Amino acid sequence: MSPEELQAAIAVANEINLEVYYYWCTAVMILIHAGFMMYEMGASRVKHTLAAGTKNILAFAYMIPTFWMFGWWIYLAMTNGFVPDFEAGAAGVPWGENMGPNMQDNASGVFWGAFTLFACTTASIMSGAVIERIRMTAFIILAVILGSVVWILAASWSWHYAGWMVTEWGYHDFGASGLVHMVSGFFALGVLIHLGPRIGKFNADGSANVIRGHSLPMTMVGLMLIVVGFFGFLGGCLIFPGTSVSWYATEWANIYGMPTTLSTICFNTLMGVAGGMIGAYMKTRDPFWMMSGALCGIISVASGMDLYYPGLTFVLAFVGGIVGPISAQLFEKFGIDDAVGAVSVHGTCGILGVLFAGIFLGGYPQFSDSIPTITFGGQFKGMIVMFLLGFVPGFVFGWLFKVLGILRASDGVQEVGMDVEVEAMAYPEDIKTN
Amino acid sequence: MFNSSPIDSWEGAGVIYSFAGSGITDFWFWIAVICCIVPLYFALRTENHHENQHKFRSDDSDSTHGVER
Repeated sequence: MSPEELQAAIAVANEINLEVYYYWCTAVMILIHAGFMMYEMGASRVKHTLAAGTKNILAFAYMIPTFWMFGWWIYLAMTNGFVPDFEAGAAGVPWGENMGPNMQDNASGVFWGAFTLFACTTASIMSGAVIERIRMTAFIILAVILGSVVWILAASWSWHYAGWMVTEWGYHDFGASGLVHMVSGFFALGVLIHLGPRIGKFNADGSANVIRGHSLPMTMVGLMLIVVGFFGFLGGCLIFPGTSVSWYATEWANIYGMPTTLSTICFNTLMGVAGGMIGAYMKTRDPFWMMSGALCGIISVASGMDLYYPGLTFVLAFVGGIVGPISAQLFEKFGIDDAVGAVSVHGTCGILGVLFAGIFLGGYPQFSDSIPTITFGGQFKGMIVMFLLGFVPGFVFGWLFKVLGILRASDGVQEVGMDVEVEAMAYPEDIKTN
Repeated sequence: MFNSSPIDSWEGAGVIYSFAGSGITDFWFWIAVICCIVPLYFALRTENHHENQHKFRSDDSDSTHGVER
């Protein structure tokens, strides 16, 4: 074999390895969705269980075709803001050469697949907050707006080497604390304001009642599945080396072109999960929040986890694990009934994640000298953009669906149980666990 | 039945999906869009049916939107 032939063989092997890597990242990410489904079904009362699960599965099902139809195009075309770059977006049009089987393109399908699963995650984040009273159709449409439009617009601005938040502010959000978690958490908040609380959540004097789900063990297993899925999610945030779409021949890179390693992500994913669990357990001694603390922890460090010292990751995640449940109590005091604390876990801890990167990651060189370095100011401005990008569409569409009368199930349906709308019963024996 | 192949040979093949390069892909695209929208109509119809059947709480017809009386 000549050196040229050997080089060509290595190049082919690298392309195939890239394909295999993202293919399995995508498969592992499906566990996030399975986990959220169990988490939400367990957090529902018996009479709402299957409605919560069905809602989650349908969000998954709707995200896939809609992300193929327009989501991926938005990512490629909208890096400048609200004005599309049709030339850049050409590779994402659903009737184009790259958006289907193509022997010369091993990358588009697996990148699209990984991003589709990111989109599914955003819908799952919202779905937990609104269980036990949102109507199915409204939820599906809201999920599509969030997953196939809103978050991917945020990703185009801030999770793309040419995104304007990156090129103008040096915004750094490796693991998507802002562009996935903040956007989804505050989108959910906008919807919740119009959706209103579950029947019986608040007393006439404004005090809140605890509404316990029917299966905390199911919720805990679900959250462990989400933790497993995070390895696919965060692994999928890296760019594979040595291929035609890679930043470097021999080094992994983050999405901004800064070199990193898979080992880095392993260190900090595990340390983030552990710090969050322990912090939340110390704050609450509650199994539900201990497990949600894993998410609080990982989200609180996700923006900068490609660069943090693992000891720092653990401490920041520990703080996130404490802040998450405190934030949930505060939202409840303001009359927001967030059934699983999604606004706090993803929104509030997402804010922490974005700002922590601004505080602790100064001085790192960027891929190009033309890109500003990471600063607190850049991260703070990015945090404001992510809040608005999530909250405003959630609030507006929540209002619209409320006006149309399709947002909230009637009190009668809630009393009978949302499962009546999916015409099924989770437990035919009609067991009562609470 | 349909001759949908965009290639004559696998040698140097690029795009290989069925009907590639023809306007027929547009047709399937729009059918796919319709397949996403139509189920929402049926879902809404089912919801409305159950909403009408269980419109009010058993103890009181006055909705309080979550505030326990």
